[in-house]
Amino acid sequence: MASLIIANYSVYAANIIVSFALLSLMFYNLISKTMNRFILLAFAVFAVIATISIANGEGINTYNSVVSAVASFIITAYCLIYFYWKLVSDGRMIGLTASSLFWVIIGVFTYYTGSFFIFISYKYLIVQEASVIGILWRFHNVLLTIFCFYTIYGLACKKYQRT
Amino acid sequence: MQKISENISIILGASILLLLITLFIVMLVMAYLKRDLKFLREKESMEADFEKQLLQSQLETQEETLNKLSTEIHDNVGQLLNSTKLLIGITQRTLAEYPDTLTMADETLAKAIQELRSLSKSLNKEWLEQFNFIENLEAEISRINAAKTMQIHLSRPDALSLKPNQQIILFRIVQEILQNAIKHSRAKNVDIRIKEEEQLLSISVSDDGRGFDEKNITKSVGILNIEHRSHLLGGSAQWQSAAGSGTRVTIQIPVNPDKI
Repeated sequence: MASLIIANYSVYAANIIVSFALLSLMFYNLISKTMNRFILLAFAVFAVIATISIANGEGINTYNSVVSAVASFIITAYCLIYFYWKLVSDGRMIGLTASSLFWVIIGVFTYYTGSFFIFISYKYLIVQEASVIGILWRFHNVLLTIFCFYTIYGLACKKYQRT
Repeated sequence: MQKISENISIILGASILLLLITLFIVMLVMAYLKRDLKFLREKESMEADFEKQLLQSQLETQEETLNKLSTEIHDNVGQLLNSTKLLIGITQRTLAEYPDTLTMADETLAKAIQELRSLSKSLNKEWLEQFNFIENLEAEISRINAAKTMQIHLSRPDALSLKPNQQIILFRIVQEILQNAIKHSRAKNVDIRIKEEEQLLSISVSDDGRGFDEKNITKSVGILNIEHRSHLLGGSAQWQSAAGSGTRVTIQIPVNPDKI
């Protein structure tokens, strides 16, 4: 029976990498060409850090805090750039709050920013404080729920507009 | 109950702080958007008001020009023709027998004087203001029909629920459409249908003239004036035409006293 128990850390790693790639693609298509250079640079930095971390550091058999934290940090930066670009540089912000993507991005921003310290400390804490770490994961789930609420609000209550 | 360690408390506290910061940023973004939207709406409203005032002053200038033209026709050309008619009458009385051509000249002159009087009246805003839209339109139709180049048929309600100044603007619109038909369409018949339903006044002017290709037409001053006047009344003007198939102009005006 013990042989059937497989650690799911590799799934967490795959999840964060795929999520990061999809969100990068989304922001790449949303933001202006000038700003896109930042996304390409950030994506390259993430790819290098993730490769080094997986190949020579934390691997995928334990929770990879570095990959999660870097992804979380860069996605937060994407969101801030998006808000800056929308509010300062782009003139087409009428009806922005009526756009699904706006609410999805607010959800992404809340989730990844709020989870940053959890991601970065999780590997350390899982060793040091294994018995009480569940509370952090429950807080993470609260953030995930907030993200889901924003997304549902965006998709269900607002007309789809690509902005 | 599990005791939360210092490490967990710090991470939890830092995460909650970040969550609050994100909420603050989201609220900031929303407030900025709200403020900007309000500013843009105010700006649009001011621009619309300015455009309306500009349009109003342009139309007032046009009305002044028409009034001046009307006065010139009545007081200058009209008086000259009246004097000429008087002289013909004197000549007729001094001659024992006078040629038929003189009688014909006298009659033609009488028609010309009558025509000029009607034209002068239809151009004069103060004169038009004494009557409603229907009365003015019927006078205009009689004037045009009298020339016998085309026949205008009118289908109308008894009265319109428009303010007097709106009725004058509407009359100018229809007058311009009829002038376009006379000048360009080579039509024999023109139908004017006016109906007022569900707070929408609809005027359709269709002719059986040569029409025009909508794709190749450039907007003349007359057409632009019709559009401007329609917009001033909060309505719209639409042209439907094809080469050889006549033209239909539809004016739609919301019947709402607050619009102007």
